[in-house]
Amino acid sequence: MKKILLVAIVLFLGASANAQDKYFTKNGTITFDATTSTSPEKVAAVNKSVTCVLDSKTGNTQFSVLMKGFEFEQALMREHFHENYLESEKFPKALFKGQIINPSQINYSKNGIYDVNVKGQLTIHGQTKDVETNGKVSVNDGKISIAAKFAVLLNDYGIEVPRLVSDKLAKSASIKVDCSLQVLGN
Amino acid sequence: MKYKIILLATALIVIAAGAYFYVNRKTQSLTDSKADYKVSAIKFLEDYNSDQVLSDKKYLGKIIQVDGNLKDIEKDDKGFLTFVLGDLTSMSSVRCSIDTTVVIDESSYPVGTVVSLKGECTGFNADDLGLGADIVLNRSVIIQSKN
Repeated sequence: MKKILLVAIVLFLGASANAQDKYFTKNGTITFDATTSTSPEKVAAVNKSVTCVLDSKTGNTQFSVLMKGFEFEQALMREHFHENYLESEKFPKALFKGQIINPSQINYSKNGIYDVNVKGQLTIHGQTKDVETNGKVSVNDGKISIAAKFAVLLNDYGIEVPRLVSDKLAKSASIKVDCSLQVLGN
Repeated sequence: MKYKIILLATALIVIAAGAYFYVNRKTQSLTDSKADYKVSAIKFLEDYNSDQVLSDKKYLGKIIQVDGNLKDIEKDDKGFLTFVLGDLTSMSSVRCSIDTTVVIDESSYPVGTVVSLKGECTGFNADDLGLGADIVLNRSVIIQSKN
């Protein structure tokens, strides 16, 4: 009987520790910017409903981004983005599955900003490519946030930029990631 | 002849002005937009859970009016609000990101009350990450609160 109780306690503690290892958000922000130096206006959109899960122990990181969640200030730009370029109804989601290469360098119980290297696979517009980028994990009194900035070549993801708009729309888009995470299970 | 020139110039000005306003029009608030579908949060989630492809065809990009129990109001670092609707005992929800141009006092909406919101459906996140399945509505506006 004592053994069963002991096993149950060990399993419970194990499960609790496991939940504490993971952090998540459903309100992460990703900014997309494909403005060129000759663009008459900013070609930029923001998505504020990004889902992200980070496993602090393994460094595994996943993002799920609903493409229709990208909002532009100008309605016509928004329509072109979703209908002509990203085809958001055909490819409603972008995904990233990757890993922080150096997870042991982050001390989640000590305040600080930790430089990280992230490697993984990014799927946009139905095309999957390997990506690698630098980012930062910030720990501030138990609050965890992650940030990264990298560029993607639109052509790599089967997104063609017509010659007619090549002076307004960059071939390489800047992607900025900003997520404040909370402990999974709370 | 003079009459024709004036007519042509007027027509060109009208076309140019129309093109200018069409190209530069801003994304509009949904406050005065008519909902394409009215559905309860529970039914909305049931639809997506049973057939995501079919539901995307029906709801994606459309304006949806959704009614349901308010499970939570989330406020991020920048003050952006998300109203979370659905079954209080389930991890799955309809998440309504509130239009940032609309100022609301979130304390007027107690958790557990039934609320009605209208927003653009941006899609469905199935429960792939162990966080529950969610439907996301963007640019949401509150229609009414039923206490």
